[in-house]
Amino acid sequence: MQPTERNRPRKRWLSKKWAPYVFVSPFFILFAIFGLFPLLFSVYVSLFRWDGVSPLSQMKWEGFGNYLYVLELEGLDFRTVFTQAFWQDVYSRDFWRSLYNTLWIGVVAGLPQHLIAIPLAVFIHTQFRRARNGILAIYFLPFITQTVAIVLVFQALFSAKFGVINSLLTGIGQWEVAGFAPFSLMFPTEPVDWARPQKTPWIVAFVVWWRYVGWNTVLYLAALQTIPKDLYEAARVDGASPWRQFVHITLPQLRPMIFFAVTLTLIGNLQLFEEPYVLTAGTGGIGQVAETSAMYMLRVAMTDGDFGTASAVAWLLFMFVALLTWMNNRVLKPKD
Amino acid sequence: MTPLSLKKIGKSYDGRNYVIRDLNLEIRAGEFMVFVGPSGCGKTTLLRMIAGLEEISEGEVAFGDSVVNELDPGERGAAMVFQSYALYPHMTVAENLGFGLKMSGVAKAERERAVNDVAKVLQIDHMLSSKPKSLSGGQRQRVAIGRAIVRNPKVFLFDEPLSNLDAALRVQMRIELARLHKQLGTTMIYVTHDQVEAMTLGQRIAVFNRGRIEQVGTPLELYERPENRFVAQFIGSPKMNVLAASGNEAGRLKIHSAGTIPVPIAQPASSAIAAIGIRPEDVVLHEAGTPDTLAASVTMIEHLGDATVLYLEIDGADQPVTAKLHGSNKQYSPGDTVGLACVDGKMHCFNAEGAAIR
Repeated sequence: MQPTERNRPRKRWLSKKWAPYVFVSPFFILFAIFGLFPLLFSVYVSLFRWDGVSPLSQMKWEGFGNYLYVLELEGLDFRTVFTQAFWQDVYSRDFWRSLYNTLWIGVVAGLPQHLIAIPLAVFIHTQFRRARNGILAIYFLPFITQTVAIVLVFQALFSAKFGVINSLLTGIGQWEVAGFAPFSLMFPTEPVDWARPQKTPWIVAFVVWWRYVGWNTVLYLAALQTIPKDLYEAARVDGASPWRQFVHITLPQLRPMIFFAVTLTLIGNLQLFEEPYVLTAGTGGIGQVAETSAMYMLRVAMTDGDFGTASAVAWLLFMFVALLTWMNNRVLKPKD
Repeated sequence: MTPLSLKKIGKSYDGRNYVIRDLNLEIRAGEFMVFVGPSGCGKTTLLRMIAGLEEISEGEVAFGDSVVNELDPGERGAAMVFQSYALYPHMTVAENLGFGLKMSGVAKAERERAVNDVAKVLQIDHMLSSKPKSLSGGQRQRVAIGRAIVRNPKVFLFDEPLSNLDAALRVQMRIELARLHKQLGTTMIYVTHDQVEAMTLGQRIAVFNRGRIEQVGTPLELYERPENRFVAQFIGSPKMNVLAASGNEAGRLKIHSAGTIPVPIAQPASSAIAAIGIRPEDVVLHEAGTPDTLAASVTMIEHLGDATVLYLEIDGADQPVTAKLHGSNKQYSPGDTVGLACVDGKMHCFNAEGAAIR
């Protein structure tokens, strides 16, 4: 019988031995090109002076010079470390100022995110049944909204002359009963100039807080749903008030999620870029009071045309994030 | 020792449909009362209402003389052991045991002493610093019971506490619970769907069905004098055979088409008999064709070692009849025809509504 087209053995173009490797290779190829290579290349670049445009042959060896340049430690008088002058000197150095700004915004925006999100999640979890998802969606909305759109709205709100915030505050401040303004001491009577440098970091922190509080609420709500109901019932039979149930059951049970959410906030806030960049139109505000480390890195790379130093900033920032995450790990990570 | 009184208790989640309605029960001081019934009969709901975890829609729950309807669970003086144990996973065994005392503001030294005492009684004193995760099912059960004991409550509430344990451990814990009740003398209410647990533990048993109590009584009362078909068939294993009876002519009852038997009880109540009940252990087998027996044929045999369970088919009945024979020297095999009868005085009679007639 003649072999038909169908049962003639197919010719293999790939041996059985190599096929598995070929099939899993796309990930590794893509990862190598877009993940591993830039990572290693940035280590390499951080040791050279390079403007990012010139041929690689024109890179100039700097060794750890870029790192030292970024850290800018020369001229600091460490004997005066306990004086204000020393820290003002530190603050005047670009990298340290950006790091301080990043940390400041990170804490002022990050801490209240969790302090509000946990009780808020508990409130939504215990008080709503059917409306829960709708309410959660409202809190989650800022998280999925374009940063630029958010910033435009906030700029309108905080506009000195026409902003809603100012008209509300001055409205309360100027409110008079029989020729006497009772709230004039606590509230402004004249429009507040929100563009002043003292206020800029606060506004950035507020926008960041506002944006991510819903995200954290979603995380905590998910964790709350996994806590067995009978633990609360046992606690009620044991005579625990709702507050003590929160302290003795909810918080300890949320601990793994607190660790996870705080880690995300930590990493996210240390890489903070979009909100301060758009809010300050890329300048970091007057005196760079709201320039974060990521913005500083961009400035060094793009404005100064110094990719070597920018890479050094990136790696220093990475080490800093790693350090803080390790500390967070020590403090919040659930034991055993 | 505190008595409990439940008066006209009703429970409804939507105001229209009642899961429990007009339920009355007096539980004596120091009594071990078991609530037993099939799933969804309202026994756990009632227990949770007593504990304060479930709102009482209607009626009154009183511990001793004081009505507790409006009291928080912690204020009622009841301790509960949950089916899932509900141990606090982030606390050590000692912290779990002492949590209730801590909540009621007992000083640390006194708390530790109480925890140690209870741990000794329950033989869990060597694991006080472990977390619940590292304990076995039986050990967790002990901790859950210890957590209830340590508060020295007026009433213990158990919600199917043994159902997560394996059979051997269940028997052991059952004995320990009975011993514990003897030792403490506290009023205990125990919910289970397992009639063996109910019969072995309860001083009195309340049999629940569809949100009502069918009968309350001692284990033997329920077994020997069930008030209706539900109780008769719920208590006892294998369950009681119930056969439809008709006729009642000339003092004889016709049982399906299997034959007739003499009416087992005195006239005139006998005229209402609609069904008879025979416990498998009360079945007597005679030669086929013996007068006053029902014609039956053996369909299946189970040898349990100490007893033999026969499944018999009788003419016209759709359910097989079960017979449990102890130490019978006669060997049966499937297909044998026999004459089925009941031990004298052990036959139960029910009217058309299912109520027992005596």
